[in-house]
Amino acid sequence: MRVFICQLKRIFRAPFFLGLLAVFLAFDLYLVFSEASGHKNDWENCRRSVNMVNSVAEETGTKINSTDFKKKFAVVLDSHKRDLKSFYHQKTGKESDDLSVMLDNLEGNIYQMTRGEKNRLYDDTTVLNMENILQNRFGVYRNTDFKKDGETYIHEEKLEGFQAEFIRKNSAALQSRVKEIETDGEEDELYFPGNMCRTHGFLYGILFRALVFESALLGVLIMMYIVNFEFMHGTQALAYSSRRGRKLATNQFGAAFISGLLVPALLMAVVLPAYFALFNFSNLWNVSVSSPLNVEMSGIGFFPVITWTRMTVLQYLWATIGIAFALQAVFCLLAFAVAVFFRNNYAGFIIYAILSMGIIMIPERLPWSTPLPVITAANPFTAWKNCGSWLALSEPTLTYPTYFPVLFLLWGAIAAVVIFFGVRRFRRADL
Amino acid sequence: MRIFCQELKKIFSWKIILAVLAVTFFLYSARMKGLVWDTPSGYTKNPEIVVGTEMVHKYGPAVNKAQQLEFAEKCREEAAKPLNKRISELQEFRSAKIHSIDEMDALLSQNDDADMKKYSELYHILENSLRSSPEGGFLVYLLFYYNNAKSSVDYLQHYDEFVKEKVQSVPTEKAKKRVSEVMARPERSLLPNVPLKGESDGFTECLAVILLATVMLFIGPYLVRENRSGVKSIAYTCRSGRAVFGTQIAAAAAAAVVAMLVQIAVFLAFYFTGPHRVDLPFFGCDISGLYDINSDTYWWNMTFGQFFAWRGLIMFLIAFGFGLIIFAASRFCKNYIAMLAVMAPVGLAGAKLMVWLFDRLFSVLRTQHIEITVCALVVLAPLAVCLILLHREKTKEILS
Repeated sequence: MRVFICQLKRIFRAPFFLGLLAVFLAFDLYLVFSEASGHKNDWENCRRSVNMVNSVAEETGTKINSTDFKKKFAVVLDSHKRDLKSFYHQKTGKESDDLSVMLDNLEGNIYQMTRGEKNRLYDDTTVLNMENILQNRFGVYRNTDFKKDGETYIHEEKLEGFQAEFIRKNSAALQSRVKEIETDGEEDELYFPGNMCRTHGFLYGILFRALVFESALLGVLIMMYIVNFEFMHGTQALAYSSRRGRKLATNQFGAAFISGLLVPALLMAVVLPAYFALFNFSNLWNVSVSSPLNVEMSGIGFFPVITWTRMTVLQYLWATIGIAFALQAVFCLLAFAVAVFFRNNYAGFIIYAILSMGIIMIPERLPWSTPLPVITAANPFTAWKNCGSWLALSEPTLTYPTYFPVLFLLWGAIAAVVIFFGVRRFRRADL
Repeated sequence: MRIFCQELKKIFSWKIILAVLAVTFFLYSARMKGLVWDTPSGYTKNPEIVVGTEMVHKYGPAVNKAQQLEFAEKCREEAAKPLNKRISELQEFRSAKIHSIDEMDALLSQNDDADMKKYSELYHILENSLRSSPEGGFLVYLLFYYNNAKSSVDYLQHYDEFVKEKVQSVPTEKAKKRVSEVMARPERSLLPNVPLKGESDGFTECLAVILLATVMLFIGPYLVRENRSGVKSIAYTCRSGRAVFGTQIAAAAAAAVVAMLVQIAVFLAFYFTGPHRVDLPFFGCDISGLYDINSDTYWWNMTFGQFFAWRGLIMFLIAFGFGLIIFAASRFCKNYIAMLAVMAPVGLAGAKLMVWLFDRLFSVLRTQHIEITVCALVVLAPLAVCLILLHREKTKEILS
């Protein structure tokens, strides 16, 4: 136990660990604060929109089709329309009943407004846009036929055999999930409108992607640092000459693995509270993520977030955190597997990076008539790349409910086999 | 000179060359496909490029407003031709008595709910039918392109109103003045927006990342190896050993330059022989005042060719500057993990900086001299640090 604790101390006192952790924390907080400050353009502010939707939810509740909601929302809408009118009069000295004329004029003068005035405009615009969004919320769902889209994709890519059947099966499952969303009331729950608030895209697509990448990077460096520590400092002959010394690798692995798992915990412990302190979700924790309002721009089209099972915002957040930790465990295991084969950390790291790039590209190079692209797409690197669509509608090869169980079983097994041979090689090697 | 060559050999180790080749291959495969291969219905068939090339040959790089309108109209017609052919084959359109994309678009101008619904249904039918045709992807792209071209025609027809809006949409007085000045020109550019934006932006970003990765992979481990081997105290006992750090700075800088030039040469070879060779006729066209409503206005009067060269120079300078930063940092790294821990955030910062710079390079939406200032800072600051290190090396006690 003492040796194990000494190894842990060695990691936590390493300048690179503390330095990188500080840099990553600073970067993540920068991401959160820059999103909150509405840096992208002067015409919209996601933070104001999120907080406004949340406060509307507090007054109206979250069941969009209830008469109570409609009544209460009409009151909120009316007060913001009046506010916009008085603001327009205050800024231009004119009167108007046409909302689009007022908004066009006010947005045209946005550079001359004070921070307080801009915020007033953002709040009014959010509520006014919400009215349109709520009215047209079924556009993406009802116009999408996943079965037909699946067939089109099969035709476009000239797929046949296993892959075509696979896509057909998953498209049918997705279509039945959409039916379920329509019938179980998920589609009538309020959510942060995607094209206005971009909460899902930012939180899961940008912030979590950064967190998973940073954790993986630091986890890999910790693993390589500790596994090759004796070789790096030329003390291997001394350390491994005793019977206890030969068992050092077990302690080193344990300490590095636990530290590796601590990295995402430390990062998330700081970054997520900062995010949720700025973006208030308090009234929408229990609404479904698969809401027709949760539709964001992706490439040239709008794509809805459709999870495979009903999940609330809170459940989805916990599930994402869980998957992030599980992926971190796989990244650390793979790093150990590489580190036991390469004594030179620079070479080991470069090989790890090149392998990860190669593994991401393998699925599209394999014959589509076989199950290979589907199996190889279940890898931790592609999963990281696809962060933001976890457990939800995504690319055809990634869109199936058992994607993550397959990934963890497959890559856990691969890492275990490589580690077994690596450790055996280490035990038999002449040091 | 002999020591300089030896140092260069150390940097260009075959293992690192292999690693750089692998990284370059992966980045080309993932992000540069359009630069190397043209699909049967790809970039070279883009109506903007096809029509634009004809017009550049006919009128030269600059035209009057009427000719620019002709360009936009022709582009719209080119995009409409295959779409109309498809429409004529669809039963739903025949029963709705719609024979062309223009007639379908006319439904929108009625401002009637029933017509809007009809338009939406027909649009979906057309899009799905285009997708399932053999040239699916390209035809769907044409549908989007048709709408863009239509708004460009509209833009040129109501030019003065749009200019007012465009002037209002820029943040500073100086920028407003520049936009008004560009928009008031009698002669206008024939450069399509496609070579300037879209794909070429993606290539620029990817090449920038390749340059950065190349420089860092070569220079990163260079001094760490020496720090680990403990030869410094022996080397510094002689006079030439004392001067070796200066040679190492020169070798690292030379290696960075050579490696980047090779990467840029490979890129240019693909650019000038691959599908993007069709951009060449536009190299003499001005980059400001395009017919596209969404196009940027730039602070400087420059041609597409000059802009292309500036982009290359800026990414070269930034990657060089970050190479020097890594060189200076590697002086203090006693092991590879420390080096990698420095390299990762510095590399990411470099990539982010490049992406940010190229996002709106020279645009009036940015402060006027920001790109030049950033480049100067990124090159001169690490160069100064290297010179300070060199001075320190000459004056400090090595064995302490």
